[in-house]
Amino acid sequence: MEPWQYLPPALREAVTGLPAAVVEAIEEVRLRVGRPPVVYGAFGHRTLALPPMTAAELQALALGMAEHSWYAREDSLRQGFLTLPGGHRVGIAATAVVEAGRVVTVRDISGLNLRRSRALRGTAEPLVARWGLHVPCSVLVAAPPRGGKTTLIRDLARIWSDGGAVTVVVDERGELAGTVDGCPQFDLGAHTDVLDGWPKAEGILAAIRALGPEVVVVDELGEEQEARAVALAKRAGVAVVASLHLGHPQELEWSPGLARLWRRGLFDVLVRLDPTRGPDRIASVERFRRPGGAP
Amino acid sequence: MIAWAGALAVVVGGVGVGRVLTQPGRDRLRALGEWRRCLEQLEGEVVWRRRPVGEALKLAAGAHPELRRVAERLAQALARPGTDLREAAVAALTQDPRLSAEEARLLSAFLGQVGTVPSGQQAALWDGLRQEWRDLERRVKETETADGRLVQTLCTLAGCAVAIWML
Repeated sequence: MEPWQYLPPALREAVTGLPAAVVEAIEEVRLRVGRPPVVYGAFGHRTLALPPMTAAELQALALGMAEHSWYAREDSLRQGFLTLPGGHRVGIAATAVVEAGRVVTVRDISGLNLRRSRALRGTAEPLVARWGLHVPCSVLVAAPPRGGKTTLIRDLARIWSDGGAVTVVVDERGELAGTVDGCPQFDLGAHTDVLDGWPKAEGILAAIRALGPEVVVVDELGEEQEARAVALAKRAGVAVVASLHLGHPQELEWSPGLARLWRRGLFDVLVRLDPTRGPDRIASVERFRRPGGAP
Repeated sequence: MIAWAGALAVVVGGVGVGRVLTQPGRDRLRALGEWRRCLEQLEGEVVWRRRPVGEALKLAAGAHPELRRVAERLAQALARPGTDLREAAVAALTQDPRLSAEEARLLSAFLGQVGTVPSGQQAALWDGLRQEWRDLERRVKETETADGRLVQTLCTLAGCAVAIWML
């Protein structure tokens, strides 16, 4: 199900009424208060011929996308997004409601960004065919936002899982598996279990304790405690496939926790993606080498 | 003998008429009790399991057959983009004719509000509804019991009076 199915009829028809090639290439639909809706994709952007969005419309839309249940989505609202069935992500621009220095929820929504999630089967094939990643190992995939990280690690999980590796996907934001009513909406392979909605660090530890995985897959590492969980997994002999926001190669050094992850050899392979390279976005594959030693 | 049998039939008829006349009151009380149990289940699903309203309603529909039509209709409305929960609740609650306008208004106002309240305030919100519903049920019970007894007694006495007159 495409994310615009969650839009009200007039808006949905405006999106689906675009030429088929444009609809197919849409990556995002952005709704901003006082502005008409805009779609973004490989074609650039197109402003829809609709009246400007009102704050009330955005509020009603967001509430509907949260299944009329803010209380059930507070954890993701705190982080500024909602996940729709099918793994589509809705970014929320709003005013934070802060209690005791902590964001508890949001109000006065001024923008929504519906980001389409798609399973592109075969995106990780070059890693196996060209770079020899036939056997599960720890892989860190780094790319800027919209760089294809999630798509790549999802496909790598599928390939290794179908190859017989017991895999656990820790899907904190619901984007890797797109679980609806307990059923993953994406093909993650024959030997994959999904921990849906688990915080990454806790999910990694729970997977190791309870599910006996050979591979654990997580999206968007960032926190120090997540790095510690990856280190624990490595010590337990579990391969970790993870993604990481990285706009520039030097950013790995700028983020001390993550740089430490790489320098300590917690990952065997670092894959950098370049979204400007077309379908095969793999820009480089770097294998970890211990200082002065063999890889 | 025939006169006695006829008189007995008239008395039984009077009692029956009384039962029929007081049936809506009993139905209303049963509906309130059924809704209370349904709300208790919804409270558990929402407050403790943090289940979205639509999912909680589907579960409640399965557990409370008498309210299935209302709960399913509401859950279906919520699945449609652009639905206003309060309006959907008003429309769905008309499917239960046993509820009075006051009860339907209380429920639809609550359902319209529940999704927007943060989790930390949900318990207090449900406590308030539970209290209000209990008061409502008590008031209705008192009224219906008193009125029901009166109507039942009058009908039975009327039957007896006619029977005496016949004899």
